[in-house]
Amino acid sequence: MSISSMKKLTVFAHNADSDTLIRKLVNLKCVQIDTADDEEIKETLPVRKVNCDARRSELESSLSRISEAINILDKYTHRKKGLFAQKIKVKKDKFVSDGYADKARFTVDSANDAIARQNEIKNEINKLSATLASVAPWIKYDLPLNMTETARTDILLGSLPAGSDLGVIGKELYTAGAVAELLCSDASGIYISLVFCKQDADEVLKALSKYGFTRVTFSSVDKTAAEYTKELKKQIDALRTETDALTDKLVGLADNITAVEILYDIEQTSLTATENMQKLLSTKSTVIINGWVPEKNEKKVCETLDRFECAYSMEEPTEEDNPPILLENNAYAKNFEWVLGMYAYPVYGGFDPTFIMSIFYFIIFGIMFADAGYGLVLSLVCFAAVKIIHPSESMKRFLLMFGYCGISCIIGGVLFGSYFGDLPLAFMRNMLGMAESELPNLALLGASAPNVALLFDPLQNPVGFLLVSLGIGAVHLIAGMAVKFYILCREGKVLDAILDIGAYWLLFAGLGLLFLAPSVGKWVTIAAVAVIVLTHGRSEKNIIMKFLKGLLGLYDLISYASDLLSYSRILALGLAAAVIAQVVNILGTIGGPTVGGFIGLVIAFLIGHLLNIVLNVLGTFVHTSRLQYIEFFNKFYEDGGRAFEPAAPSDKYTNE
Amino acid sequence: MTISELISLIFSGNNIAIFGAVLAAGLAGMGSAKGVGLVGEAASGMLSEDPSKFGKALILQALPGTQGIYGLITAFLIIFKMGILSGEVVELTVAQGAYFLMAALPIAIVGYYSAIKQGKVAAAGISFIAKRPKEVGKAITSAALVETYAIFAVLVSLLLVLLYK
Repeated sequence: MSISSMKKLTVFAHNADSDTLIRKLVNLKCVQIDTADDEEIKETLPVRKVNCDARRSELESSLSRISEAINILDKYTHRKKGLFAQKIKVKKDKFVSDGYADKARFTVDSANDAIARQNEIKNEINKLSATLASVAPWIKYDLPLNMTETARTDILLGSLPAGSDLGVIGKELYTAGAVAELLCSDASGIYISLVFCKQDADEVLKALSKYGFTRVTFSSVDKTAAEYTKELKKQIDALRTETDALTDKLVGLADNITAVEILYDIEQTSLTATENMQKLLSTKSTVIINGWVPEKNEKKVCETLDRFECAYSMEEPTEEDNPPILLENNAYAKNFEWVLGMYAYPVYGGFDPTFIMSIFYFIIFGIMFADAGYGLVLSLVCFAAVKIIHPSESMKRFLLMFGYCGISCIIGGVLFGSYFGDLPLAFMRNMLGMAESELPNLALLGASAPNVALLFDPLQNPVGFLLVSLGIGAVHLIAGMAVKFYILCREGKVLDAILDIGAYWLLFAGLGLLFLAPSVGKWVTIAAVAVIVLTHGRSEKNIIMKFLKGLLGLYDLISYASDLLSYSRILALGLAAAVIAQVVNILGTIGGPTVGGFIGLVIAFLIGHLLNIVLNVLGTFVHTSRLQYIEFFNKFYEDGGRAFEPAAPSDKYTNE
Repeated sequence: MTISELISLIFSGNNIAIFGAVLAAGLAGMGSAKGVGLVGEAASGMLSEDPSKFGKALILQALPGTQGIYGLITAFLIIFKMGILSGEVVELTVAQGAYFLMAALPIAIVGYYSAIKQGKVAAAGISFIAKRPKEVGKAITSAALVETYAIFAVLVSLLLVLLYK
């Protein structure tokens, strides 16, 4: 539960070494390189930003080709993928030096070329098929399609609208001097050919124009429609064969997908190194690296730097610096760091509340979503997921946190008698047909109605549950004040701690005693109020202001009260989950102890309770977080740090 | 049947109580539908540019949905208390029915307004995470602040219904 100390790293190295040096630092996974603040240095030194835009865009385009190849080849592999994918274990240096990288690059190029050609073929086939469809109506026509005339006659091909009266048109054309032949008639139109003497052309065209004739020309086709169709089909077949061959090739290439994935990580790591290069400043022959190293990794980084010809220093951060924040917590609490990260990181040198927060998170989550059945499901799903799918570090922490919270729900469920809502009771009542008097009544605190709770059932005793909620809230708030007390003492402001926070504790104690032992409570309360009024304005010089500020100090009591009432949400959300579960159980057991009834129970159980878990885990997560962020952190937290994000090699597919 | 008989038949104690349940589920549900819709519209705009933010958008979109659930719970509790589900319907007097109607009003009214307001905050949160996806926690917290008042309202409604003897 602390914030790791950071060392400020400054390195001056030869330009020639810079690339190797940055790569080594990336591989260490513990150096965060800052973007150089060039304004400051530029005035005194002849420096400029390192420019590797060309290299960067080259890597980016290479990476996009590699991802494209992985996407394509992934479709042709037979390996099991998805959830159960394991990271590939590989030594990348050896992979490159043994020539596998070049092979993988060849695979990437071949796969990209093959898929580009396949797309080309697809377009070509579409074009040819369209042509094929356009000559289909003329299949019976036995002259070359581009023949439009002989010495004395004109030849015309075309279509009439579907449903035209052929008798009338035929007669009129015959009168005009044309010989018409019907070739094909379908829903799209009536296809005809016409032969007529050249001197009759005007007459014929005039007649045709009345009936919506559309002329069709095939100027480039010197074959009959039948011949042309045959040729087109042959071309399409040839293209299909080619694309099949390309598919076979891709299936063959897919065997190398692992190598391509390794190549992806290698290139991505190079890109990371290049991006970090761009943050640096350089002179004619040196580069300047500014960055941050956690103190515990100092030795490791020094050893690496010693192998290069470079000058470097590791300094304590000064007041003006803004070191990044690396939190250090035990194996349990570190799973809650991301909840803190969602709010804001603490300032450097501040207080890391993760551990205290994680304990209260655990308790509040469990009371808010108190159900042994739901908790068991949540824990099993999360812990199983960590075991089976080997998630990334951040995903693992996310899952583990909810897994732990599930355990807390189980405890809450046992205390408040909730196992998938009131499933045990509903089952005994409706499926076993037990009478109300036979149902168990386990509650230690006594209850009039049946229940399976260790303490009491919140639905029967909502006020009791409200008191539990507010009680937890009070402890949470006092813990927040205790942290502030500690922080003030650490800064040497012991008096402030006692007068500002201790006095309020005295006031709380007094108010509590008013109920238990009024005669003592009265005096304690008066004493506390007096301390607050008299000392709260101690920073003011004017005596009147001192007194007014002191009175104003009492006003804080209202904000404490409203903070406390905010914890009543624990009751509201708890009841929400319980009532929905109860409805699911009523619907599930409505069929009684029959076969259909049991089937109904299983269905209602699966759908209803699953939905309830999803809805309530979301709600409980949001509101438990909120109680930490607003009510708890408000008491002491100083935020504003930035997360420590060291440059690291890509581990999307591989693991060295 | 005279008009006054008809009126007293319609406004029986049980019917007034059921009207309370209807208001709780109906109004709070309407508010949630509107709130979730608002966020959904905003989210679709963002997702068309970057579908990978779906998970984050979904959390924000689900937030204004809880008021509808609170209304539903209140409605169910009233129905439980009336014994409609267990088949032994309790005959309520007009005053008793009115008690349940009043008990349902906090979540019906506050649920309706807070769901819409929360929807607006969450929709603004969508444009926030479109630019800064890592800050989703802040967007969620802002929206969750609005929900506090729906929670207080449902608390009042639930306590009134549960504590009815």
